[in-house]
Amino acid sequence: MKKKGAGWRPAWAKLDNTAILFPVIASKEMSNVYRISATLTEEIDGELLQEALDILLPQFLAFRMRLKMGIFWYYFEENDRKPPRVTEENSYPGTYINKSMNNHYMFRVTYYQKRINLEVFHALTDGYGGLLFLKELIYQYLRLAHRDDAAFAGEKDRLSPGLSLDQEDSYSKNFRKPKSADEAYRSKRAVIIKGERRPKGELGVMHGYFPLDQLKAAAKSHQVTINQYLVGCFVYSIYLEYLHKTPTEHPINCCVPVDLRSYYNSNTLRNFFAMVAALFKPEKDDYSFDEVLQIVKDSLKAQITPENLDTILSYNVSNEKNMFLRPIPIFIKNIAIRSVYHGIINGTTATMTNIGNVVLREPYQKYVEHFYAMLNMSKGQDLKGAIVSCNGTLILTFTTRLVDVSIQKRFFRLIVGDGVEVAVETNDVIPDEEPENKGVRARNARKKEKKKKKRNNRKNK
Amino acid sequence: MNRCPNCNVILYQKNMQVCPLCQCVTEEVSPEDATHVKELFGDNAPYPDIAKRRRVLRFWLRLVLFLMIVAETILAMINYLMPTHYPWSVITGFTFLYIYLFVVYWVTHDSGFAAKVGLQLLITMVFLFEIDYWNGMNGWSVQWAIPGIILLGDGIVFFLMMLNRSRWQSYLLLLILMGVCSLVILVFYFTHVISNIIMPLICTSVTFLYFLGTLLLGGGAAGRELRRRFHI
Repeated sequence: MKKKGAGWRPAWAKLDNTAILFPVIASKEMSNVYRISATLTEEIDGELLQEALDILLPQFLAFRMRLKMGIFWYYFEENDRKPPRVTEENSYPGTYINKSMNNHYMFRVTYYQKRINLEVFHALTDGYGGLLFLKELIYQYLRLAHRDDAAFAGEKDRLSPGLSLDQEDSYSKNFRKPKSADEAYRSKRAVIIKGERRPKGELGVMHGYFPLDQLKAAAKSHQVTINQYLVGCFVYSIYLEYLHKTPTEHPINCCVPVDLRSYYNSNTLRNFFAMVAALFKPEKDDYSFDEVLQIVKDSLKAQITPENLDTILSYNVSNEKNMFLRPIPIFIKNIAIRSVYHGIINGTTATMTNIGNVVLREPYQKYVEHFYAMLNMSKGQDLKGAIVSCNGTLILTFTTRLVDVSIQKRFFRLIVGDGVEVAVETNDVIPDEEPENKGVRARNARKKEKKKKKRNNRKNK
Repeated sequence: MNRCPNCNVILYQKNMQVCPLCQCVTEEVSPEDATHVKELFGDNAPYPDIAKRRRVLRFWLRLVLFLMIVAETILAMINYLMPTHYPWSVITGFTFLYIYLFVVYWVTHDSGFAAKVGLQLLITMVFLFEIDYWNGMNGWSVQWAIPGIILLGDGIVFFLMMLNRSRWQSYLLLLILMGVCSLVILVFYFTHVISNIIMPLICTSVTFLYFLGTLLLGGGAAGRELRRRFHI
């Protein structure tokens, strides 16, 4: 990236309402980093991917930011350092992003075989922004990788036409003074999934592949949407495998982030979502799958209304707007935010997010096979799910810190029971797998092989 | 490609002999089924074998802590058994604590360079004050040593600003911190905690003139940095 001249004034931005929380609570155990990946139909060339990022980042201010600490608040300031180094994947998904390393960028790009991974610190943007960035990165990468291909002749090293780079704080823009002091989130205790954990730092990943049309039919047969169906299956699996059908004092609370952009006509690249909860409190001995689905459906339907989302937004932003709280020094605010956060972590059982259907523009679509989304763990939540669909396949990824996978097992079996074909993949490395997939030594050998190929190609030219 | 007969799911990874969901032995799918699955879902995306990061660093930190505890225990015992009643082992204890905090903070924390230097200087001031306190509070720490640290801080800020000229304004907060510390020392003089004004006056005037100089010569960049850092 070009070094800026002496008169350069770095842009800056205050953190949006959701982002305020993340730098305060982020740690190596709870990184608040999510991953969105895409698999291409071809092997990734790391150098080309770096080149694509070098072209893209100067055009994408929302990602060209570093996190700085002020006296009263954190804030973002434009970063003029070189783009972060693209590396081959060498850590578990969503590992902590150290704000003083990685050239001070709050995201990282890695690759492995055919997969490109984008990991983003949640303060920077939500899944919508992350997905847009990854799509543009893929466009640039494929354009570079196929520069001799006639299909890419008209493609330029610019962002896609029509892409909105709006960075407004839509929370503040759409804030209306709450009518009552009634809390939008009631942080009542929920069922907390506990169990033996994997070794520190390890994250279990399990992808479930579903054909979208079959899943649609299954959801329709229960008269629910796909999202309600998947959340309902998840809640029912927790009910069967963790609660063993016993009535409990506390409900199962599955958090579902709702993208607010369509409700407020916003295109912001910054965070703009609200959390609603799929609540199910078992009060009798035996609930059927359809009963739970109906409860989850009603719970989500009642909360995902413009009025309720407005109440949630206004309640959340009202604290930030409080004139008495704003001038409190950041180190005191941090203590207060941390203690409030720790007070409410027992209010959520799990999270299930849906990024939606990804469509790429032509001529890129045929070079991309799948998209994946993954959430890292939070305190009190050792199991999370993230959904994304592309090319007629919906992929739900469970991430967990727990050794036990009985909830996931029940979840997939429920869906198979509804006549959906399911394929499962994990991040466990199978010892018998082909040697090229294994170990650092093999990876280095692959790198050497690639370099050799390149050298030969150059010689031939 | 294998299938779990219990869960009835396809296991995408090659050679997956045991189902990751129910730990049941899997069966191999027929070539026709494998083709069907590939048509339906496309290729899978295996993960690399993440080499377990060796926690060498943590081990060394723990080893340093352990050795310090051992050394301090021995020193405390010697101090107790010696005929003098002077508690010098408390000072060594603070020294070990200071060194340990210094190492841990610089190695493990992800805050910026300026923040690390600022906190380090503050810890050093507290440490010097503690030594003075345990020696009968003669006042040498607030009279001479802490103002000296403030001047050292000013020097470090100057050095950092020269070293990182394109982002020199990032160190303004550190300079403000030194200014606040020198004001506190000045307050000590006016409340008669210390009797000599020479060092407090030198460190206060150097810090404030330095700060004023950066504001005037730095132009808009300094003002912008301060507006951002102090935004409410």
